[in-house]
Amino acid sequence: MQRLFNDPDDIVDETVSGFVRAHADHVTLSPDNPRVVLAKGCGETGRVGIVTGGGSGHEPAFMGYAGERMVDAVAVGELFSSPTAKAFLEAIRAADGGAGVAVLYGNYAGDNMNVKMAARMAAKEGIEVLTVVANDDVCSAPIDERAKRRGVAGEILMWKVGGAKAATGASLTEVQATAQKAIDATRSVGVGLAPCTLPANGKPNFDIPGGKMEVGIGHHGEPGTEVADLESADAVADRMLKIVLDDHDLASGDRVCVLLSGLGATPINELYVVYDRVAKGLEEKGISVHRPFVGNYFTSLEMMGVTLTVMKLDDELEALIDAPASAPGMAVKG
Amino acid sequence: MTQDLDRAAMAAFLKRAAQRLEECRTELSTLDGEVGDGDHGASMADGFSAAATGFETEGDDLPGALRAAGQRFLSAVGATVGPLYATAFIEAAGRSGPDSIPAPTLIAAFDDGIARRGNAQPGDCTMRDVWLPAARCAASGSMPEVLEAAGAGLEATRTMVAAKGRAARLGSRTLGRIDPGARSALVILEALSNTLGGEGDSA
Repeated sequence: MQRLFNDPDDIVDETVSGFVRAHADHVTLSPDNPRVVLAKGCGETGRVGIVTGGGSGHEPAFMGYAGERMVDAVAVGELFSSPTAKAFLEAIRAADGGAGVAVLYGNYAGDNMNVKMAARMAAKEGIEVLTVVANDDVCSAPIDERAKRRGVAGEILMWKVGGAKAATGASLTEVQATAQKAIDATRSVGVGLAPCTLPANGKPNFDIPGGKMEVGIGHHGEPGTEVADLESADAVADRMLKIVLDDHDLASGDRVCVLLSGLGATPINELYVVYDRVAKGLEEKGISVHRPFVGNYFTSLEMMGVTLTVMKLDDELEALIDAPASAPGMAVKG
Repeated sequence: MTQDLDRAAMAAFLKRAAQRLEECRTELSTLDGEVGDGDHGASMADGFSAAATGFETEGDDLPGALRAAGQRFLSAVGATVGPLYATAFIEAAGRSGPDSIPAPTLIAAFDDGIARRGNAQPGDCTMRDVWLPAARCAASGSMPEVLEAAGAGLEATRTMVAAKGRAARLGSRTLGRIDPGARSALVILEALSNTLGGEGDSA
């Protein structure tokens, strides 16, 4: 294992500490909980607060999306492990400016339980909390069981839209409805080429044999739908695009926002190689890419591979994606 | 089984469970790595260690100390087991007398708390496949019989397709593997048995 760490038990604390030092222009550490990262401007009076959280190892997700007109407070969990209910609760408290808090998070058993407990505790304190659960990962369940699907990189677009909507002064129910619309319009798929290792465990949790790839892989190495021979970048791009488009009612003339993320170990240049083909594939189908994001936006430690996320835009979603935002993980100029 | 746990016995049980889960940290994480995300060993060891400390240092009576154990668990551990075992402790607090709780009541409270929080059904390949048979057996059986029922429940998870948690995404790939949450549940029951003077603590 060729990795950089000290005591495996300290990795998350040291990650958060380094992150907050590196991005002091955007974020601070909560004075109440070392596992809660706050955006500058968090808790602004009268504005709906946006909270998320999840396991570590996905950087820049989740805390990298704490910023201006994005997420206000982020609960940080152990590597690949849901944050505590207490961390979610403290994030909710910090983000509340009297207009309520929208918790926008991904569909995992731990996050569901911890957010639910935190929301109940916050409600007892008089904080109004609504939630939206991202379930954009196409291969994790059939479309008629969408509620079972995992949340993956589509969460980023949900945060972008939710944060921008909250910044307009919208009410909590409006923010929730718009974030829900955003994730409903979003589909993602991942392809894994090599597995990842939790330093405390010392060896990969799962195996992808040399020369193979796992289509539909999850963000923690959850198995996909097929283990296939490794293909060219173009063939992988075509395959991912087909999975996403087949699941989505996209037609010629539609506009989309595209997010192509590396899983951690894939060279950035290869992301552009894949994106080149994705963009051409969409163009051929008469679907226009309104705004692409290409880079390591949502990783899985040192997993090798890529994820493709496509959000169908309407006028409102387009305007909210285009609204200026600034966070360590994403910046959009107005 | 009519053994009661007073505050001292409960403290000894929690300490023993924390110690055994610490010893099983790697084993549980390896099991979890095969079907989930590999965090189960750390979550259980850290959670029970926090619960044992909370139990010893807080609470005016047994229910108060159990509640403190649950709160400490919830503060220390996220994942799925944080809410599940925190709710188990809080359920036990609700059913405990001021000075003691019968062992069968404790086991049933753990199962009910976990069921209420996680909504897992028997056969879903979760920790409930150990807690439920243990709770049912404890109502009339001896502690060795409880461990036998729990062990059979653990083995049965090999034949189950996971329906809850991250392992659920594996579908039939969970076949042939024991569920890590079921394994740690048995470790806890063994620690309980051992504390009560029976057998327990299989390697």
